[in-house]
Amino acid sequence: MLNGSAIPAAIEGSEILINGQDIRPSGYPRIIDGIDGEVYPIDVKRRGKATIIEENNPKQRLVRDYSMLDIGSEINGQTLWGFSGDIVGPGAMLIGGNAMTGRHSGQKLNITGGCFMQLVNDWSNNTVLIHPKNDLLK
Amino acid sequence: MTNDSGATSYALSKIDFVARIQSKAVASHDDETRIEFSYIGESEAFVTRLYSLAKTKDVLQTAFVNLWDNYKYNQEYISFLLGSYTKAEFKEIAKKHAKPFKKLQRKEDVFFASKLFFSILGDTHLSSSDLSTLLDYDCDSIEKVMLDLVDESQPERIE
Repeated sequence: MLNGSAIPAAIEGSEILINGQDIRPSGYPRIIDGIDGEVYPIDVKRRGKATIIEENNPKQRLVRDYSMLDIGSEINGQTLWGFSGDIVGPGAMLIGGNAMTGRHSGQKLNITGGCFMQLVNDWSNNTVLIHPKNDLLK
Repeated sequence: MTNDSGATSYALSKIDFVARIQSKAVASHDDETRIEFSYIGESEAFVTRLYSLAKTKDVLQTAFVNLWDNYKYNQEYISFLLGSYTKAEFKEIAKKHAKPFKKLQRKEDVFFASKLFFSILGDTHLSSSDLSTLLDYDCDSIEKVMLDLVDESQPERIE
């Protein structure tokens, strides 16, 4: 069981539990090399954590060569991006969970069917300059 | 440089500019025409500006198509969430909307497009996944490009 909170970090599993604030579907389905069928992108825009609930079978990396695959492995950070192999249906999102704070109730989403989540922005935005908006505007 | 008569003069060895040449009828003599020569700009600046405009149009056209595709899919997804379709029906619809990400050819294209979107949208925060939606590249490619560009231009910002 591993924990990834620094870039690059990702997990892959057949079931992943996502905790966070602002968990949202992110655009139309995608076709990705090495994966059968279409996948459904998901964004976690704030305080994201994703944990493998069920491992891939067979246990292999399909998306990133640095993905963690063990049950219980997790990534956490400011923003996450990934996808679900199954459609996220009505009522799938639960309110509450580890991302709950005094100002935000937090959200919890279980995704299934060949899932992937990747750390996009880690907690230390000051030291790891991932998305340099201010630099671009100069 | 400008001479005493107000006309711009150039050293012969440095001539490289874009100009417009027009024939115009002389008002007092219907059967006479005169040739007018108008200076437009330095060639390099002119071509750069033209290229930038063409590039801007391409980027905006791409973003518009991507946003339109997303809009159409989201309409269907909302209908599914409202109960208009069964899961099996929606899966068939979703399949028709599914597309792979585009292959990133030139990292400069991402930089140009990102800068354009930030300048249009002002203070709006755009994450790499937002840029992914607009440009149709996957987040990982965008993140790598951003790091490369920062690394090349401002190495002191990477710790």
